[in-house]
Amino acid sequence: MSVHEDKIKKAKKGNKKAFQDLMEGEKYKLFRIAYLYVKNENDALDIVQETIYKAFISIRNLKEVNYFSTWLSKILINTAIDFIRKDKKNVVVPIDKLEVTLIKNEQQIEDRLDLLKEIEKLDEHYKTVLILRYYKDLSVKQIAEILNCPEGTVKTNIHRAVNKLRLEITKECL
Amino acid sequence: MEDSLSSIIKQEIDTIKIPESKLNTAIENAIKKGHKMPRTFGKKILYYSTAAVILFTIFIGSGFFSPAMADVVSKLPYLNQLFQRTNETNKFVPFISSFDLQKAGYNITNVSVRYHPKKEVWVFVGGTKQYYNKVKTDVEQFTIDKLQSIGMDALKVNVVYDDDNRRQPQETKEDKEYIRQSEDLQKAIMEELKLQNYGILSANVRINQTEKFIPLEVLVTENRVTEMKKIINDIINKKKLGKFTIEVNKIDPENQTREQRWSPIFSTLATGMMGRKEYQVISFGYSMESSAILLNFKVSINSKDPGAHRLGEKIKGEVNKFIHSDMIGKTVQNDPYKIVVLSKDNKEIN
Repeated sequence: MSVHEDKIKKAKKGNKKAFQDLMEGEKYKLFRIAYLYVKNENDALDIVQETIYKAFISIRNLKEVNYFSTWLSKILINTAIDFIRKDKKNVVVPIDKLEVTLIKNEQQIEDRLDLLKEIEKLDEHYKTVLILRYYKDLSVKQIAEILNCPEGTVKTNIHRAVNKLRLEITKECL
Repeated sequence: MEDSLSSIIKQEIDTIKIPESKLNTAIENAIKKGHKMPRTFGKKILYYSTAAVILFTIFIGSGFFSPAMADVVSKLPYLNQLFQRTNETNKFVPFISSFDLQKAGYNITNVSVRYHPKKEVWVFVGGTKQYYNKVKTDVEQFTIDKLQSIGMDALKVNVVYDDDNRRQPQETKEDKEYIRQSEDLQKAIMEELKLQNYGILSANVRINQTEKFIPLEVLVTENRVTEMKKIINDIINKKKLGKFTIEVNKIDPENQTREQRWSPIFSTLATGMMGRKEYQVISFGYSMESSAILLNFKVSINSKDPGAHRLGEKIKGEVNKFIHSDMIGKTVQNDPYKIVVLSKDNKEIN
């Protein structure tokens, strides 16, 4: 058994340290994926926090050790999409006088590369398959399991997402 | 092809900057929260501590909109209505505050504004649910009237019941101890460095579950970094606090005061220009990096759309009118600045 698998098993039994180690290896990807959905640091941090919390309280139900990464992605993506939907109709929380920093952040976002912006702009379902396929390197079958949909749909969506991305990039270049 | 696409996408996504220490704190909080929770299922999970990209809380009360002032107000240029100058001090005046609403007799816990993804004002009503149902329409109308009285028409008003759902969690005993330690260490460092005449501006010590971190702000002219670090480490050792990371940032006080005096102007520009439909401004940013302050407005139309250039000029005109008005002090007016209006496709249109 690999060290990684061993850690997952320990975490399943409630070992906090093992769980922490696992998160250490996943945290950057978790944050970046969350960021792609909400496009700002604070919300992305909230989503990561929520995801890890959910993962921590439910890891004992994880059936297959090999599915750990897939399972975690599934929680993250559901949390992110849930968050966006809630945020659309729900509430904002006050922060004092943060406008200056926040405006600065936005300036930085503006400066970022185009492709990333195009990924951020994609519809949720295209964005999701694109991230899972090309960033998380999951197979079509795994993605289909995460999203609870037929493999054919996943393939079509990946295809369309890539085309959209290319289209957008070419449009920008004109 | 697939491989190259995959690697391009990975490279791109990996350019997203990681806020390392905040991320660690978030993970730590999540595990802590999970540890405390009895392991039950289907429990409703609440979000807290969320900030949208731009989100102001409006908390300053003011009688600026009193009937007696109405005449004066109507004669002011649009942006100047969001601004006040008293005793040589510039101040950004929010267009509505919980105080305004409270004065009108409503139980309001908070008022927030955000501009992304939609331009919205959120008014939070306290008290019972029945009370909320009773006053909802009136509060909405009151807010809409206020906005209209100064010509802000881009914001949608939402009146919601404040049910405590998204409040910050309470500080734990552990947190309090961390705060005490941080404050104590900060005080000691500042006192010692000032006593020895170092060009120290701030040392905002952070002690928590995940980090022991001291970001120092020192004058740009201060070069004795090694010596300062030694003094700090001596203090830490004496207090037996363990190993800290010390980061030194050089600050040009000139730039900082400039940013401070422009700060109310920035708030006014952001709020005013995004708050009115005709300007079509979707974001505002500024930069103090170069000698001229850069004021950057992004609008929702494309550079090739008819009227793009005219819109750019209109925005520029409104901003210039405001900055050159008598209300604003000479010190600000003497700072060079540059206005850039960017179209949706990132082209300059003014």
